[in-house]
Amino acid sequence: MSEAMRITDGGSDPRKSKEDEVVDRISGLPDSLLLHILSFLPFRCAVRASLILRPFRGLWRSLSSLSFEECDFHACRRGRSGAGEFLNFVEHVLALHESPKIHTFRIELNFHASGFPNPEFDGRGVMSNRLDEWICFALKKKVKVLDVALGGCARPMGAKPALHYRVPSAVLGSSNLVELKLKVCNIESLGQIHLKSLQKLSMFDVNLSEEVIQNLVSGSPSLKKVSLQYCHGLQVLKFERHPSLEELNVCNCVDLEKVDLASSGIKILAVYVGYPLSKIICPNVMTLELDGLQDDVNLDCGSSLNDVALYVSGFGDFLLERGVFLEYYEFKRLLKKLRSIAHFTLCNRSILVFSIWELNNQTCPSFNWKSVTMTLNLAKWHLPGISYLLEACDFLETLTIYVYPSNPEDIQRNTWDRACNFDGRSYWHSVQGTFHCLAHHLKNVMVYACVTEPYVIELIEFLLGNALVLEKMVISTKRNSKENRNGILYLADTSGLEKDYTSDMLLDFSQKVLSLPRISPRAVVHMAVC
Amino acid sequence: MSSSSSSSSSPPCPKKMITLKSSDGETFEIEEIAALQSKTLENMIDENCASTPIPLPNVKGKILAKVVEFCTKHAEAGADAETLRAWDAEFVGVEHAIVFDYILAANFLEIPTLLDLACESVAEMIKGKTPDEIRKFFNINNAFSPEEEEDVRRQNQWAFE
Repeated sequence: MSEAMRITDGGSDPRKSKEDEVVDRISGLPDSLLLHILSFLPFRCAVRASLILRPFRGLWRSLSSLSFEECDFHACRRGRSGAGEFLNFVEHVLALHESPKIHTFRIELNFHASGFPNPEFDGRGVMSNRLDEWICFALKKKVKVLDVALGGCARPMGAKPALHYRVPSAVLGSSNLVELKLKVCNIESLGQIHLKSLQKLSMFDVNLSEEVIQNLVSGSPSLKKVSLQYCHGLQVLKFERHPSLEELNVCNCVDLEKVDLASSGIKILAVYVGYPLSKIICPNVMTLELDGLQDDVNLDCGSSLNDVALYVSGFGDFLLERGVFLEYYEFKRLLKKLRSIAHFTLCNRSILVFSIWELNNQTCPSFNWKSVTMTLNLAKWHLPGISYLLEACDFLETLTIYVYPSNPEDIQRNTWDRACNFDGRSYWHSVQGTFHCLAHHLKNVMVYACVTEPYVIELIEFLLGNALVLEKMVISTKRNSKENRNGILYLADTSGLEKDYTSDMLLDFSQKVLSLPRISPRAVVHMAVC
Repeated sequence: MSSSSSSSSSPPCPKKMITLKSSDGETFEIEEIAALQSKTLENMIDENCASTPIPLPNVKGKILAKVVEFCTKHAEAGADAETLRAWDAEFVGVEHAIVFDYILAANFLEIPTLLDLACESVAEMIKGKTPDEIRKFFNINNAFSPEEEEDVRRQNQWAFE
């Protein structure tokens, strides 16, 4: 069959049907159910299916989620062919669509490739006018979720922010919008901002100012979450009292120097810390995520803070400078400041810094963390870090580890191999130190995801053999998200290496674990590996 | 498989059971809390019509058994999203005729989670197939003849470019 005949790419169905026995169940379904089925197809696919398959005839006009992606019409990065067909498609859909209301309206195209906006006409070109019309269509249909992504498949931040498309001010007066996502566009800040139903606001590569943000937030009395990425024009992000705003995600806003939530009731904050951001004031925040951490940051938090996640990132040879391990003094200072947080989440690099401190025989500070969660591409050189953690956290009650395969592409492998000249599998037999938490506090241990990876069973053995007051150990193949709140991937992508567990493999593993000696008489091991 | 020796805390009040009767006369018991997944059953329970077996003339025994299984699973406390998703995928990994039965039962009983799951499953069957393959797969009668289809494509070129 030629490509043009196919309704869409993707999707799969391994079930084969016996042709002679198949009863037509589709034609008998009522329109409402056929429409519901269509709503799960990608939009263009749904339109085509609806035109070509008689039972679905005409139903596409009642679909309530409209999504237009320019990339469906061209081979990405190989020129702009397909633009005409894309525009034709959009115009026809908008002209023929019937329902008085829609739920979602999404546009994704590369605005800057669509012909240069002419600065003489105040930045409005043909494409701008079209976008204005399309957005007005959506607003007239009382759209609830509006997603305008004008970067297309272009390299991000390739264009000057001053030349971005300006979203019409009518958008900022919509009483129906619940979610607004803007990418590579700007906002016209004339007129009143009144978004009475808006709960989520996301802006990516948008030109802003402190005043515009204040007006957006104060004009949205139902606002719950704000997400700002790669936005310009903000030096200080300051929020005042607000009836509902509870979460803020900030990442890579180039001019940002300070985040001030002193007067705000925001409870959840995720910030990427990098130059020039140097001060974060968040006395009321309860859940804090700090990404990057390549530079020192002045953190002013308060007593309500009880959940911290650190996602240290970094490139290049962060371990060594002139053959000597870096000390990470700032990181240590930050951890000391956060020593009394109840729940801590750590990633690969945090544990690697601990490994450095362990291998350098640094004296352990004492952390009062009660619960620690870590997600690791587990390698031999994480083990000293885990040991350091167990020594430092005197009052640890719950330990959760998500294990993923070690990253074969890790450029630091050789350095670590040289530094860790021990056998990973017998590491725990020769480990020295006083593990106060194992003797007195550790009650719960959870080991998740790729549990049969190397070094996991030895760690389980060590914990079962030394945790005197252990009550519960859970081992399961359940996974977590590899992205943090700011959408940053904090784990090496090893999905190709992750095994599909067969019940035999898991039964084998279960038997090994259940036969390990347990020093705590009350310890119960739950294997949930299916 | 799961092996554990733990004591779980049991709910303070005894689980109230509702009896459902399928179109072919089979009866099934379902916990009230699981039955609440169905708006239809929830209304009946509210109006106190739930003391005698509830007749469901639109749902065969074979399907009702599975629906009860679905609602019970989704009413379980402490089920994490990832595991539930995997369970759901297996639940609809059956002959497509049965998936249609789920759609009709979920529609009649107003169980949005099951309706979405089953409809999405049918959508997956449609994706990636040519129109011809779709018609054969579902054996859609009164489909367009090749000439009629050609007409449709020509009149709606904008959708097929």
